[in-house]
Amino acid sequence: MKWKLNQVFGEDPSAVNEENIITSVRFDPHGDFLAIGYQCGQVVVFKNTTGDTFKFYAQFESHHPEFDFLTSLEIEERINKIRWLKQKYDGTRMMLTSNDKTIKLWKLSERKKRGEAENNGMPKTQAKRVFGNAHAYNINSVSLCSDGETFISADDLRVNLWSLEDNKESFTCIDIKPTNMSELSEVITSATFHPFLCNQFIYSSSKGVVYQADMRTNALCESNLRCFKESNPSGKSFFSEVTSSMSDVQYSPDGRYIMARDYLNLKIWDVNNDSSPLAIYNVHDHIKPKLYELYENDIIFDKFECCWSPDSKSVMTGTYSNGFVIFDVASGEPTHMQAVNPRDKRKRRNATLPVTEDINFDEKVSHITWSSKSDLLACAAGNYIYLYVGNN
Amino acid sequence: MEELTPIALLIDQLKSEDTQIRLNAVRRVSQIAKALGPERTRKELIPFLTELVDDEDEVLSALSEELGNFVELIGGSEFAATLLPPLEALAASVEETSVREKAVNSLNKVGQSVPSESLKDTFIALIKRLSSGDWFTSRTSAAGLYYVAYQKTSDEATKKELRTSFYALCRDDVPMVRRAAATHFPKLISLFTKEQVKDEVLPVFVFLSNDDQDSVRLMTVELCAAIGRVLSQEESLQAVLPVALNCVSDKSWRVRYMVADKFCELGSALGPELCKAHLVNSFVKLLRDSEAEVRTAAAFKVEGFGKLIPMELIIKNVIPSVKELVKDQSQHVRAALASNIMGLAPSLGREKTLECLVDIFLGLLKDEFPDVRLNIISKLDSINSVVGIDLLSQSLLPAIVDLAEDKQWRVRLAIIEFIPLLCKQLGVQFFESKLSNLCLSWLGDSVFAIREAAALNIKKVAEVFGPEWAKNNIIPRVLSLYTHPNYLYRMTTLFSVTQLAPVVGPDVTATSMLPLVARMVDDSVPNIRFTVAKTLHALIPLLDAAVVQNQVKPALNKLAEDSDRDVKYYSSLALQQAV
Repeated sequence: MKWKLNQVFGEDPSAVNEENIITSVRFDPHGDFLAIGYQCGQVVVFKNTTGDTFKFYAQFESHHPEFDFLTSLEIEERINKIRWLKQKYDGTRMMLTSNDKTIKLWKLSERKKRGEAENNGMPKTQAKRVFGNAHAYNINSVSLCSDGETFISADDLRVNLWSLEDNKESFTCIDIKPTNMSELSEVITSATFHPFLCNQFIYSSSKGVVYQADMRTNALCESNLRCFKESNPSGKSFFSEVTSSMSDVQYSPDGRYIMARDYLNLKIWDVNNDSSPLAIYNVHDHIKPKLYELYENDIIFDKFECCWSPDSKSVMTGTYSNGFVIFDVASGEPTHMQAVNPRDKRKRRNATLPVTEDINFDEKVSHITWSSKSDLLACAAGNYIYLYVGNN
Repeated sequence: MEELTPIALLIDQLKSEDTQIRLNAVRRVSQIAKALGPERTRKELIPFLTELVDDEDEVLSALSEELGNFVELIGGSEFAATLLPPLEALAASVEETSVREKAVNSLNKVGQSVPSESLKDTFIALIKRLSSGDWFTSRTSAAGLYYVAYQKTSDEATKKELRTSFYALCRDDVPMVRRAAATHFPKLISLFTKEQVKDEVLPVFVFLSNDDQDSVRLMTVELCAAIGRVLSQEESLQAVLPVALNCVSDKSWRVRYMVADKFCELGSALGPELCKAHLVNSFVKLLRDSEAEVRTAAAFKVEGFGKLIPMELIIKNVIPSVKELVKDQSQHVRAALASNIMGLAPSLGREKTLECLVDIFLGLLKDEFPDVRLNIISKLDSINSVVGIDLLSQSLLPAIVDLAEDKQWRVRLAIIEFIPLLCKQLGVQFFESKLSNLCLSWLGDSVFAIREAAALNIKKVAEVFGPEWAKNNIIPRVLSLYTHPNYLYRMTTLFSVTQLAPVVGPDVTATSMLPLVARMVDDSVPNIRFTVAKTLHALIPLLDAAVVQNQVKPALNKLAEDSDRDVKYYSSLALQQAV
C-alpha cells in the first residue's frame, strides 16, 4: 500500500500554539467523521464528504479547566481520549470525550427544531451526560463495550465500568491500589475492551505486562487474569524498566492479536499464547544510544499510541521528527513515513526513510487513528493533523 | 376567536428558548386539548405536535407521557389511531432511552383503545414499520408493543405475522434489539398456544440462550420460567431444564446471578417433580458459588425455595450449605441469609426447626456485622410462631443489648423499632426486667434521632401494655428527666409527654403529666419555654375543659408575657386554641 498525504489541517507552522496542540484523534467506526481533541479542551469534528476528502463539520468546547479544592490542584481541560459510539441514530452521532477526571457523552445532532431557521448545515452539539467523580487519579483510557450499553474508564490504579444510561453509578472492576501506598510498584497505563466479546478487556501496565480480564468470573475481576509478557527479554539495559512501560495496548479488529507499544518497540501477541510475543518490532532503535540524555530531559517518558489496520494485517505507531511507521504484521516489513507539512518552509527530507540523524525530539507523532475504510489514516503532530490516503 | 388564543399561546411557548417554558407548555397540553374540544384537537393540535421536533429530552419525555392520556380528549377509541403518528416518531428515533420507553408505554395505552376492526391497519402496521426500521432505536421500541397487539388480535394470519416478526427481532444483529426482544418475550409467551411454544418458540429460546452477549443471555432465565409454565412436566424436562442447568453453570456470574434471583419463579414454573429431581442440586451449587453476589442472591431465596421442596430434601441438601454460609466471608451473604433463614421454620415444623435452625440462628445472632444481627431480630415472628420465644430469649437479650449500645446510631435506631414487637411477644415481665432500662436510657442518647425515636417507642410500648401500666411504670421515670442540666434532655421529656398523652387518656395526663409541664414554664432556657407552649397546645384537645381553664390557661398566660419573642408567639397560638 502506498500512502499519499491528502489533507493537512492546522495553523501557521511558524507559530507553535500551546493551546492548540492536538491531544487525541479518532475516526468514527464507520469512517464518516474524524474527531480531534485539543490541549485547550476543544473538540473539532471533520466530515468525510466526497472521496476521502474531509470538511469542517463542528466544533465545541468539551471540557473546561477546573480546580480540585481538596487537593489544591488544577484539573486540566486537555482532551485525553475520544471514543465514538458505534450505534447510528437518525441524524445524530454520539461520542465520549475525556479529560483527566471527567468523561462526557456528547451528542451531535442535525435535527432541526421546528420554527428555527436552518442550522446552515452545522449540527447542534450537546453534552448529554457527564460521568464524573469516579477517578482519584488521572484517566488514561476510555473504551466502549461491544454490547453498546457500557464502557470502561481507567486511571493509574483502577478500571471502572459504567452504563451509558446512568452517570450516578460506576463499578470498579479492577483495583490495584496496594493497602500500603509505599509498596506501589505498578500502575495501569491503558485499557481497552475486546472488539466483539462483551466480557473481555485488557490493560497494560508500567511494568511492560498486558493483563486480560474476564468479567464473567467475578464482580471484581482481579483473580484469573491472564498475563501477556515477554518470557526472555533480551538486551536488558539500565533503562529497561522505564522503556518497558507500555503507553498503549490494542486488540486487533479480528480479536486474534494484542499489540502493545512501549518506548522502543511494538509487541504483538497471539491471544492464545500469553507466554511470549509473536513479534517485536523496533520502532526507533537508532535512539537507543541516546537513552541517557533522553532520561535526563524526561523525553524517555514520552507516550505513543499504536493502532491496527481494519484488516488486522498492519500496525502503525508514531515516532520522532514527525515520523510514523507502518509494519506489515506477517513479514515485519516497516514502511517509514514522515508527516511533513507542505507549508513548512524548513529543510525537507526524504519522507520515506527513517530519520536517524538530527532527530528532532520536539516533533513527534503521538496520536494516530486508522479508519475502518482501510485506505485512510490520520496522524497528529503538534498543532497539525495529517490525513493520508492509500493506494495499492 | 377566543379559542384561537390558547393554541397560539402554546405555539409561542413551544418555540421558546427556555426549556422550562417549553416543558411547562407540554405538560399543559391536555388542558389546551380540553379547551379546543375533540375535533379541533384531532385536526389541529395533534398534527402540530407531530411535527414538533424538540431536542430537549425532558420535553420529549413529557410529550410522550401526555399523549398516552389523550384518547378521551380526541373523542374516544374511534379516533384513537390519530395519536399514533406522533408517538411513532418519538418511539422510532429519539436516542434517549427514557423518552422511547415513555412513548412505548403511551403507544400501548393508545393501542388498547384502538377498535379491533382498525387494529391491523393502524397499530399493527405501526409495529411492522418500527420492526423493519433502519435505526436500532425503532426496532428496540417495537419489541415492547407486541404484547398489546397480539392480545387484541383474533385473526390467526395476523397473529402468525406478528410472531414471525417478533422472532426476527430476537435474531437481530444489534445486541440491544435482541435484549429488548428477550425482555418482552416472557410476557408474550403467555399468549401463545402450547403447539406454538413447542414448534416456534423453542428454537428461538435456544438461540438466545447461546447468545454471545451476556446482556442477552441474562434474559434466558425468565424465558425458562415462562416456557415452563406453558409446557407439561415431561416437555419441560426435555426442552427447558437443560437450558436452565446451563445457566446455572454459565461462565458469566451475571447469568448465574439471574438464575439465583429468579430461582423461585423457575421452580414454581417447572413444578415440584423437577424441583425435587434437579433443581435442588442447582440451588446448592448457587449457594456455594465462587462469586459473592451470586451467593447473596441465592441466600435471599432460601425461604422461597424451601416452600417448593419436601422437608427431607431441605434438611439433607440445603441446610448443610446454609450452615457454611453462616461463616461466609462476605457480610452481604450473611445478611441476606439472616433475613431469610427463619422463613424455613414453618416448612420444617417445630421439631426440625429446633434441631437444625436454632444453631444457625444463634450463630448469626453473634455475627460481628450489625446488619446480620438486625436481620435476624426482624424476623422474630416467623420463629415465634413455630418455636416459643422463651427458648431463645436468653441468647436474644445479650444480642439486643449489644445492638442497643452500638457505636453507630443507625444501628441503635433500627433496634428501637423492634422493641414494640418484642414487647408484644415477650410480655410485661420480660420487658420490665430486661428492656425497660434500655428504653429509658435511649431517651438520654446523645443523638437527637434516637431520643425522638425513643419517645415514640415509649408511646408504642404504652399502647401495648395499657395506660394503667404506663402511669405506674413509665411516666414517673420519663418525667424524671426534667431535672437534667442539659436542656436538650429536658426537651425530650416534653416530647414524650406529647406522645404519651393520647395513649394514657385525659385523667392520667391531667394528674401525672400536666403539673410537671406547668412547672417547666419557669425554665431558664427559652427553647424549653416555647416547647412547653407547644406541648400545652397539643394537650388542649385531649384534656377536660375544666382542666384547660384552671391549669393550662394560666400557664399560657404567663408565657404570653415572656421576654422572648418565640415564647410569646407560640403561647399566643396555643391560647387561641384554648378558648
